[in-house]
Amino acid sequence: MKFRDGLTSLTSITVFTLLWELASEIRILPATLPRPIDVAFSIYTLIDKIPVHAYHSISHFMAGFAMALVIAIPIGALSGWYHLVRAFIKPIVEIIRPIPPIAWIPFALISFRNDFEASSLIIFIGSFFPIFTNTFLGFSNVPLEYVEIAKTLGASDLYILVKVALPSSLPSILSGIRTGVGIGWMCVVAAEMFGPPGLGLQIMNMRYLHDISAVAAYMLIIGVIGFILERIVRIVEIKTLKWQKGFIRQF
Amino acid sequence: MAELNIVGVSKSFNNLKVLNNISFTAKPGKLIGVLGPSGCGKTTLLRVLSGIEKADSGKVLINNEAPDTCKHKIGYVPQSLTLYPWRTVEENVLFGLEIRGTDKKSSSELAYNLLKAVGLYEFKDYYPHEISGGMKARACLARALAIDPDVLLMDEPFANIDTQTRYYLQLEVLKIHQKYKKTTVFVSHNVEEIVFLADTVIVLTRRPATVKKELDLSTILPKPRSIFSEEFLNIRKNLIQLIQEEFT
Ligand SMILES: Nc1ncnc2c1ncn2[C@@H]1O[C@H](COP(=O)(O)OP(=O)(O)OP(=O)(O)O)[C@@H](O)[C@H]1O
Ligand SMILES: [Mg+2]
Repeated sequence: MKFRDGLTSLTSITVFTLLWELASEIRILPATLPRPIDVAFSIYTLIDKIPVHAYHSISHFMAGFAMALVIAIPIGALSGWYHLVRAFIKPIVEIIRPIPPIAWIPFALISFRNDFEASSLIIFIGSFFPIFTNTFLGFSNVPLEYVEIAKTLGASDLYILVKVALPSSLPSILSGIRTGVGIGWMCVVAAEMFGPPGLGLQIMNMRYLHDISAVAAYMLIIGVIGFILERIVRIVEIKTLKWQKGFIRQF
Repeated sequence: MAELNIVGVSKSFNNLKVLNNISFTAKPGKLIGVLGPSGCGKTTLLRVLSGIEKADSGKVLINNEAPDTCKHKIGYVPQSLTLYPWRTVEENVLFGLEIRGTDKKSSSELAYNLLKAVGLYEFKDYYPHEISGGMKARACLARALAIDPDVLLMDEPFANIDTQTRYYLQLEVLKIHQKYKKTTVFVSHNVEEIVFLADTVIVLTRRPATVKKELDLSTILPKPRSIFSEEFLNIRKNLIQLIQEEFT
């Protein structure tokens, strides 16, 4: 089954590439667009530079994303669980949430001299909200009965928070993390277009050189890394949520 | 073994009166069967007994003290047969001991005994969604027994289980009751089940529930009981008539 799925995915990528090549060959696509073969050649010529830029982008991402995890999960948990915390946190979050991460870029670049911090902030903003919201939802939707069962067995409030509410919210938290990874990674590239070194800046540089194949090559790399990051979260999800009814079948 | 006293308990939700001045006593080690029509307030009564819900008036006493989760241990088998889906059967059964910080060795020994007693040992590593309704009932019973409760409260645990399985589960409840001698309140709307299990039957009226009749079966219907004996069928008939009165 796994093997067949893998084969299907491989086929789909091959067919897509061939169609693209064919469309370029018979001039359906404008000649300014790169062909797959050009992109492949660009990747080949850039192969020694890509890891360096990817490394920059991934470290921006990791810094911002880790910060989002460490802050969003506890705050989301506490405001989902305690009404008073909710009443305190919600108005702040509701006002900041609608500001798109992109709008933070100028702010971040001015307030942090350091490019690394500036781009990490953008990623933090991008991944914070999905993680916060899903953690919040998870904790506020813990079935009352789960809590009551623990109470009759003599559990303290703190014990219930950690041993009942947390595992009960885990599916929601993890899906927030998955969304957070996706949005955070998109923000890396956006943030880097304005200064910090990394894949995003490379796209801009290649644009000034009018090297569209190289632009496409970097875009492809961004796509592949994003895909891998999301896959990693999915694997964690499958491993942690094996108890969930019908979970494995969703993938 | 503990004595459970319910003294004049009343409970309303907003303007809906659910329990009306309910009093009865569960003698140490006895199995009290509470029989009442659907929706009369059986679950509410057990929730008050367990301390999850507060009575508006009247009181519940365990060995003449107000229930306290630190001092008393209450085993509760919920009507929904809810288990934590992220824990295996064994981990669910041991949850109460984990809370109390019992050491690994003695709790795994206890788990072995209990899972054997309820016939779930082979399924100890299954997750709740992988087991049947009857097995869930067994797991909930084992979880309640694991903390060595002073009082065991069971809320129609077999309501949604087929008649055949239900019969075996009832036999097991009797066996377990004889083995562990827990003071038990078993709630059901099923007359046959109550006559089969109870030392004393409490018949409730329809909502707002109050005690309509208290019937001691231990002398007139000694255990083990045959569901086909004349006495059994007579008592069953009388109780059904009592309940039918509630709807005329
Ligand atoms: N938390 C609550 N808030 C408001 N009303 C409630 C609440 N819990 C129970 N009730 C009401 O109390 C009445 C009795 O409910 P309860 O669940 O105790 O009945 P029951 O005898 O257990 O019913 P069943 O046989 O269906 O299990 C119902 O009319 C119900 O609507
Ligand atoms: Mg009920």
